[in-house]
Amino acid sequence: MPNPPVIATQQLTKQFGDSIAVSQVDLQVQQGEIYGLIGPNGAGKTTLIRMLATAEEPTLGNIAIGGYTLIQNQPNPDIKRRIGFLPDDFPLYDDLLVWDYLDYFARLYYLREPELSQRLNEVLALVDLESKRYSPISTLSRGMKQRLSLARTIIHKPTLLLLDEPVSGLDPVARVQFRQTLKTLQQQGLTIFISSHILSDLEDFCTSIGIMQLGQLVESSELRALYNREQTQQLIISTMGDLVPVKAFLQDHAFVHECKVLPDKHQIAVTFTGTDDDIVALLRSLISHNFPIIDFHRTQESLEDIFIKMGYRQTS
Amino acid sequence: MTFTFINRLGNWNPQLLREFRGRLKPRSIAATIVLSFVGQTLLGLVFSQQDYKPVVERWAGLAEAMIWILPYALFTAGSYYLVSDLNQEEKRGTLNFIRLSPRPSREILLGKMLGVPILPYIAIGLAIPLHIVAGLNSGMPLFFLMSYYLMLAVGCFALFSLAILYGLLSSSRTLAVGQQSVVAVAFAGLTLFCLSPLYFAWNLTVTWRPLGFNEWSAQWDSYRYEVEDQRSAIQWFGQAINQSAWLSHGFTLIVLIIATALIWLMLVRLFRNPNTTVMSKWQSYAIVAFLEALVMGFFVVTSDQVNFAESTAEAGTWLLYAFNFGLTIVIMLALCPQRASLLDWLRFQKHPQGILRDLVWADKSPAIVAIAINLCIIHALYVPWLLLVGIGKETPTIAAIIVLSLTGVLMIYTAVVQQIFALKIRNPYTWTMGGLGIWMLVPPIMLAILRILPDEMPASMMIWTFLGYPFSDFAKPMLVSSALVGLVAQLCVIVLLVWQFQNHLRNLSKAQAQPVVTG
Repeated sequence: MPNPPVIATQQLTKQFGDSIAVSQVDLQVQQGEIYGLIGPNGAGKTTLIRMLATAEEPTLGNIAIGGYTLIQNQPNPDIKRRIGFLPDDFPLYDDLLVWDYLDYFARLYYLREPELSQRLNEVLALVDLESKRYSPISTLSRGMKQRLSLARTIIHKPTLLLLDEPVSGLDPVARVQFRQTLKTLQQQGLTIFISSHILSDLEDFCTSIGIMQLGQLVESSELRALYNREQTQQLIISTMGDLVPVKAFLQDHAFVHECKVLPDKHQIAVTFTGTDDDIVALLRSLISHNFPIIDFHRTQESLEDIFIKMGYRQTS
Repeated sequence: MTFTFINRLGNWNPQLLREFRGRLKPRSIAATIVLSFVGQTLLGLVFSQQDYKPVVERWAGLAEAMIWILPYALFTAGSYYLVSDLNQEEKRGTLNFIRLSPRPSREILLGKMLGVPILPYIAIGLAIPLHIVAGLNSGMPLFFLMSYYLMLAVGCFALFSLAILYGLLSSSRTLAVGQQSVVAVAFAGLTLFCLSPLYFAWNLTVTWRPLGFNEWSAQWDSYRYEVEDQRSAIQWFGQAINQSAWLSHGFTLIVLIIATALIWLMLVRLFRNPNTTVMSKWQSYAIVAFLEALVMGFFVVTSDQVNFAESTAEAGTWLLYAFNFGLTIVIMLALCPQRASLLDWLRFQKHPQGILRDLVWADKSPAIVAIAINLCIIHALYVPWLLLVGIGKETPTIAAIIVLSLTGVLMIYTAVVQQIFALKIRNPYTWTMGGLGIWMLVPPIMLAILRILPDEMPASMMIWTFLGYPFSDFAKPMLVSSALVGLVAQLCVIVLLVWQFQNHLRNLSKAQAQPVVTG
């Protein structure tokens, strides 16, 4: 029997008074996936994540985590043990030391000695805070605090990690570090559900993508499938000579859909509909026609380009 | 050894260990110890300098002063710490993480209660030996001393439970305007000026009375705890509860245990879901039944020379009237769901077990039916009391007018409060309390100033009855018929308000929720 999806929601809806934050979301996330959720401000990403984390009660609909259905108005301790939730503001206790803070949360999740100390050392190593273990939290930098929060989120070995805008407000180095940590966690078998505005971050490590707009999940698919479906192939060609004859030659080619001169860069951008073999044939024919080609490469559209093309213009 | 203890403590209650780690810093501990000893030394000095008194009397003075100081200091400081801590956690957002942990809410809250006021606990704990020595040296009754600490512990548990409830409420909704420290100071003030004096008043007249404390104290100051007259006997449903130590302690402990259990039911529910109503509907029925029976008991006596009252019939009628009025207003504010909950209930809740069942039990449904049930529970005790003991014994018509006027005005208030809560306004609590306050006070004050009083103008009885103040001796027959007109007016207004509220709900349920649109 196949494993149940780590997250499965049915008609999940959240209403705040007169406004509807999340509307009839049916979502499925399989084990081991890194699912990226994107959408403009107010699209309902945070509310959706908070409902999955049991921090917010749905107005309507069901949530199942690892096959266990969440029961409203009940403590649901077995489900809570499976979830690690990192909100965007990650508040901390300034009066505690790093070690005591993690020790507190580990005990809240029923970890006992000697596994407790062992696990604390493991997560401190993972987030690179070993040297700060006896420092007061108030002395940590923002990046360190964020990593400490991540350590707190995974201290009890959850199977599902819910991250809400985890890289917002971090400097580039801290972001790279954070991405690296997430990849390590995925290798350890965690399912990660992450919301972000920064599409280039998600592109790097997500396996699936969901788009929210006005409370609805308007797109949810594997990243690869999305690329295959939406992406058009573009070739960039530069020559040492005049671009005009090259352009004229390319326009006659059967698989060339569009041909654009980029005068600043002395390049031609070609929208190409053929296969890999057709690309090889094109290059061969350019050379055989004695064009002085110095650059011939294929570019991939970024996730951002695809989304803009798909019409979700509010997504940055 | 220390590690094993800390480890065990942390396994049992991680919240308690966290509070210890956050608060037991060397500097704070040192300051607490110094403060406690400085306080004890000053107190010792005051009494040691009273050379004109025998030594035993000086010990007695010290012991008695500490009897008063310890609870006042512990209750006030402890409740301040708890309310302030919960407000801070809620404001910072850290309480949410604890909510998401699989530990039961009661364990977390117990950890808070035992851990947050740890510094006041230490300061008071260090003063206990001096108090016991002073007490024993001055011949203080031993059983009193034991009971004193028992009641201190139980009272502390009950009061701190209330402080946590207040802390959770004040942090999750706008009850009081101001910063967290102001909110905490407000509760500490309430503890200092109301709850602690109440604790002493009760224990001195009931719990400790059979233990010889008053006699011991009277040795040193014969003016204060004077003669044992019959009026100082306290009866509850005709049974004297301050004559035997077993009864006085049993009664006090049972009442405190039930009250604390009810508070904890609310606490656990509110901690898990801070946006819900203060209590669930069934909790309100239990709380009203408990409080009504508790208070009513003091108005059922075998002699009118007990419970500090000359005549219980008339005074009791009006005191119970005022109590029922206040109790229902508090329950009303605690029970009425706000607009968001009402909208959830209207648009999304299916009512598989029928709307009536929802109105009686469900959290998000309007509270009008639930308040009516609570009034029925109140009247189930109040009406028999009025007819057997109170004013209705001789004049059942007046009793009927009183009960109906009370019911009518409270149902009107409920419909209005529920309507305000269903409106799209920012601070429904502030609006409600302001509106109710004006409605309750302004018309009677104006009528009184204009001397439109039932005794002088019998027709005005209809207005007074309508407003819920049917206070008159009903000596003239005109007054009764005037009051009846007031009751009919109440009924009409209730029907009108409920009808209007139903329409409002119907409109709300038809309107569709809109997606959030931001720039």
